Amino acid sequence: MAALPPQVPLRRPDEVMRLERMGSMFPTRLSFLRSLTRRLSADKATVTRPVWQMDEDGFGHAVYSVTLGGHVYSLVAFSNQLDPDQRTDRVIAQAWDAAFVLYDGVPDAAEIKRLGENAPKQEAGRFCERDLVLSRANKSVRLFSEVTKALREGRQPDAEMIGKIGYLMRTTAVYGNGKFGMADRNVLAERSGLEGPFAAEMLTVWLIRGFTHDLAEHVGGAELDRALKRHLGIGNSTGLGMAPFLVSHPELLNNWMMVRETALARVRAVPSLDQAQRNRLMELAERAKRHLSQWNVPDPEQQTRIEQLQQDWVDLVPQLAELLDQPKPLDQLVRVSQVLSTECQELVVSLALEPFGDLVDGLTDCMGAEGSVPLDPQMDVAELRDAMQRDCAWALGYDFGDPREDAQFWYVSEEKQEPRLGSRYTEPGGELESPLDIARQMHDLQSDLREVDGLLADFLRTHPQHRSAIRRVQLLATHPYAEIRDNLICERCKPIDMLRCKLAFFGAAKFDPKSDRWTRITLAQGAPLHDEMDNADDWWLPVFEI
Amino acid sequence: MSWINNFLDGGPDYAAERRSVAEVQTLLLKAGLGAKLPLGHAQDFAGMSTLLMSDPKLFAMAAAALEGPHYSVRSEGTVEHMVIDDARIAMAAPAMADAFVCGAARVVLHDLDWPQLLWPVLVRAEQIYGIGFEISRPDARTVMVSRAPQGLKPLGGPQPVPLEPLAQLEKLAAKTFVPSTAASRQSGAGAGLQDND
Repeated sequence: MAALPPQVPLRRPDEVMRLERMGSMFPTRLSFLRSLTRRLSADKATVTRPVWQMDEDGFGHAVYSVTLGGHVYSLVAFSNQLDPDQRTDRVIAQAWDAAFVLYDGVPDAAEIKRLGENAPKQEAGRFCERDLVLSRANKSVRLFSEVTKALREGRQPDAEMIGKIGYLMRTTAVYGNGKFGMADRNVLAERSGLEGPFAAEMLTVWLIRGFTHDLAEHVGGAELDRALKRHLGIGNSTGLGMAPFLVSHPELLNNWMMVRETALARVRAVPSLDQAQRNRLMELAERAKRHLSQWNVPDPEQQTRIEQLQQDWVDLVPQLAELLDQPKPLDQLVRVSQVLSTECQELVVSLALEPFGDLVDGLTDCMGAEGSVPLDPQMDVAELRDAMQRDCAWALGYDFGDPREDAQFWYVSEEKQEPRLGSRYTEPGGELESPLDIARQMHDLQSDLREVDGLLADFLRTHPQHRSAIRRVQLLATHPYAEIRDNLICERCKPIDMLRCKLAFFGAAKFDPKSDRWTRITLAQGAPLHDEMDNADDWWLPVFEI
Repeated sequence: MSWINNFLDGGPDYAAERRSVAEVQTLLLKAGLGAKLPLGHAQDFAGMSTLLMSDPKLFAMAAAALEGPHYSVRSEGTVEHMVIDDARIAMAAPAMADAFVCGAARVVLHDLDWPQLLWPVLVRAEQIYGIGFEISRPDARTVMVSRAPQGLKPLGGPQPVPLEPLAQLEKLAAKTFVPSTAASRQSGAGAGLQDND
């Protein structure tokens, strides 16, 4: 067995698992969409379009097929006419511009008919084991209109508008893992190429992106310039529904973060760089600078952060040449970045990983998690108390008698089961809150553990309300990155930080927060097109150059 | 007569529909929370979804067991031999599994509400902890679970789930939903109400 590469100590969970830092993350080469495109490239995957039945206005259906890991998967896309009054990215929407299913195999006419009757209904439809992922998307009305109008007029569309918006459609949900009757996760667990977390979902959005290009060209009656197309990613609008996932899947969260931190620890241990590596890092840093200059958002708070980051980056880049000549150059770079903004520190992490695929890409095999780690009832209560002092200090310091510390509550609305966040002291429903109050659960557990001895099994019989919290405490001994180490119900908590963390793992960039609880982003911007899988991996922080 | 008695008296042909395991798992968790089962117990119960889907009657009993009320187990005895009185499976199952992991040779359950559910409960414990079990019934009010090297007969794979208990679970799950208001519609969730940009 080959020896593992050397690594420096990992960054501490108390540093990494804070909302502020998680809400400053950037996509890396470990992000799921990057892993997927590398895999498609390795498989020499080709995308075909066996069905294209669209009217001249672009309404109808299409099928795209691709072979990955020896299996054929098909995106079945339905484009529908939508009344502008109905166009909302919210969960409560009832209709969308387009609906999609990733199908296991190639659908025949009967299967396309079945999907056509169900996919446009989304959550109200029913699906079967052949259906792997369900999604829907709304048009960027301005850009779709400009692109199709320009093509009809025999010109290429306004590049500035493409640069500014960056996508023709944005998905508003991408459902997998058995939702609405679709295939359970275990169907894909052994499928080479789709076994990783969210791989099927990423394949779906990458195929949807190509569909949006084809649809615009079809309606416009001419071809889009390839460089413009490559910069047209697939948008996404993400709200509160994504945040609870990170809390309800602690093993998975740990594995994602552990892989990322291990990758960083490996590159920080690299003793020195050759000239090609130095040049590559300098080139990527310059690319990042140009990318940042193209990232501007209406949200004043995020725009302020971006401007600070732009300034920090401008200050940092000139130091690179000297830093990269030193021993353990990437460790030096990370250390130097510590005095800069958190966004800048996290961008440094992303940069540092980028040229070292041979050192870190294999770690992506460890990003999945099957099943939950079981509770150990044999533990002594005193041992659990010690574990809490060691691993949960972050949770035990909050004063939950202070109304600011439990000011918010997460809940599911009866209205289409939309996840929402309420104000505990001014809105009804707090008694029905979803159990995302992890810090408070641990705090309550600690209170009840005082002056108790004996086996945990005995304690659990008299205090069954702590079973979940105890499992989480025990998990931290082996999964140190399993918890977001902040109070998720306090008035300071901003769900947008959780969304950004998860979306960065997907591979999203150009975060465009619309409030503290939802954001738009772009996926696959700069990614290879359906027929470019021979040039699949060099699209970290893409720059639009026309 | 409750819905469960009517259901169990009917059959063997139940109106049923396919559901994914993930759907049932999520529904069981929400139903448990809707019925005020402690979170960790609801999670454990939902973890049996594949096993509960193997038989429509087991699935229906699981729905009935979740209805509650749920209260802490009343137990006595020793580490080797635990006795649980007035046992309710949704609360007693984790306590029983804990006892075996801690070395119990035997757990006796008196007046257990759904003895048939011991089968999936113990098969699940076998899967997680690698302990084999056998079940005996010394009298009508008593079920005795003991360690046994050969273990229990495995359950089959997931089947379409019967609609009546499914509806009961959905009713329980709906108890976790908060009524919508104009204010929560406007500010409680992400995204605007129209997105024509």
